Amino acid sequence: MTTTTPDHIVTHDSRGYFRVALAVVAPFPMVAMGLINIIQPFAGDEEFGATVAKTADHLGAVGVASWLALVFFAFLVPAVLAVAAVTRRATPRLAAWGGTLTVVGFGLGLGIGSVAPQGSPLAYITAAHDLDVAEMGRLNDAAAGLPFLGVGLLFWIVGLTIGLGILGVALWRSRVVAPYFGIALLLGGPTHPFIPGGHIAIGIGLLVAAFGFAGASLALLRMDNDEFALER
Amino acid sequence: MAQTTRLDPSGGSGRVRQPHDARSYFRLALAIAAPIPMAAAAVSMFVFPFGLADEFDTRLQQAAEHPDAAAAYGWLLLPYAAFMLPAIVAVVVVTYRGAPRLAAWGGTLTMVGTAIGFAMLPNDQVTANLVVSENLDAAAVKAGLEAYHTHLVVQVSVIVWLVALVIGLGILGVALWRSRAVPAWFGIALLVGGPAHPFLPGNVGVGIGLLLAAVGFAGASLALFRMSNDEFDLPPISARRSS
Repeated sequence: MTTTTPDHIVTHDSRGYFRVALAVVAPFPMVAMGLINIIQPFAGDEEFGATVAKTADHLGAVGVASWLALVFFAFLVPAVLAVAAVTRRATPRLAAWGGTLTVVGFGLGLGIGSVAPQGSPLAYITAAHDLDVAEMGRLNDAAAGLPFLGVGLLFWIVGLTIGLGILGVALWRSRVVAPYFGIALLLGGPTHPFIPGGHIAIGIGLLVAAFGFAGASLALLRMDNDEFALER
Repeated sequence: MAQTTRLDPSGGSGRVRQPHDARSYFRLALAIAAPIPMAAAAVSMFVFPFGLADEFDTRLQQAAEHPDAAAAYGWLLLPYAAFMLPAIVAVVVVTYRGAPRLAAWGGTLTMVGTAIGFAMLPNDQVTANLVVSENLDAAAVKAGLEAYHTHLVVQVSVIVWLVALVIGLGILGVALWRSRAVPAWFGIALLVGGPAHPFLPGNVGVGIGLLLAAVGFAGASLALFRMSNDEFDLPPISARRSS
């Protein structure tokens, strides 16, 4: 720091907390989203009316999925930060590109993707409260057609496919853990939306990505605080 | 910085590729991003006639009276969503050594709560604007929104979001103040503007609160601009070392 860092006052060291916290949360989001895809009876890209009908038949499972979604949302960006943290020193360019694309893309995806009610949350409310499916379908379509929402989702997809792919390569090339962790992230992250076989296959793809994120956890748990971040 | 080579320190005849140093990039990117989200939110409050806590019927009326503003409104949400999480990281990076406990608490609460708030809580004004522009059934949409907010997972999300906004940002403000990385008034601005802005009267009041918060975040920018790369982060290492 350039100014008066109060060395004489600060005794606590939070590096251990940040290191272990990032390690603990890193695999959670993709595990949560993998399980969501496996237990929900539909994929994310189905027609709204069909999603409502399937949700109505499996209301309990979709209700559980909505709690798992909290885990996904809460820890998605920290998981990215975990991978960037363990790769930034050995593969700086890849960490910079991958970290930037994913953090910005995921911020836009979370913040803009849900800016108006649509998709599976709206389908769940429609089914649970017996709302007018046709009218809620019109709201869903109108929300999906918002131009700025399209821009947000474009960044989300770039983060998911290119950004996570680069982070997978970063994890692989950095050699902070065995290469198969990085390869798992490289394969499971970018490709899971395109895996044929419906929602269960997509869920398995996400679990593969979670294994990649667990590589960052392993690296963080192995390193000491001085390898993780600067001391005061 | 260009990638360089140096003689192998192990005494071998080959050359060891020195990894690129991305610390300047991370430091400057965080510095530039930090004030943007709150500044964008403040501009949104100054420019658009839509209040933060208006009833849905009021929002519908405003959307009908100001169709151009309704069409433009969503675009200012983009910089807010894109850079809010990096802005939090910027404050944590600047304060984790000078105020470690505060950085840990504030960073955790704001990071988790902001992400959940982003993803779980639809923007009622955007929804009202859609109802008007697409001629949707206002009563049906209002019933849908009300039903959405009766669910426990949504209510928990509202609480976590408010904790992030009021307690988390407040703690980060104290962290910035106590870390002494920049003059105290940056931290005080974040401490006051972040937690208080939802409770200030009128659009101008909320906008001023957000602007104060943006000034606080700019304190993190200033600290990041001032510090050297060696003060910012550990240097790069060769990937071979850890293989």
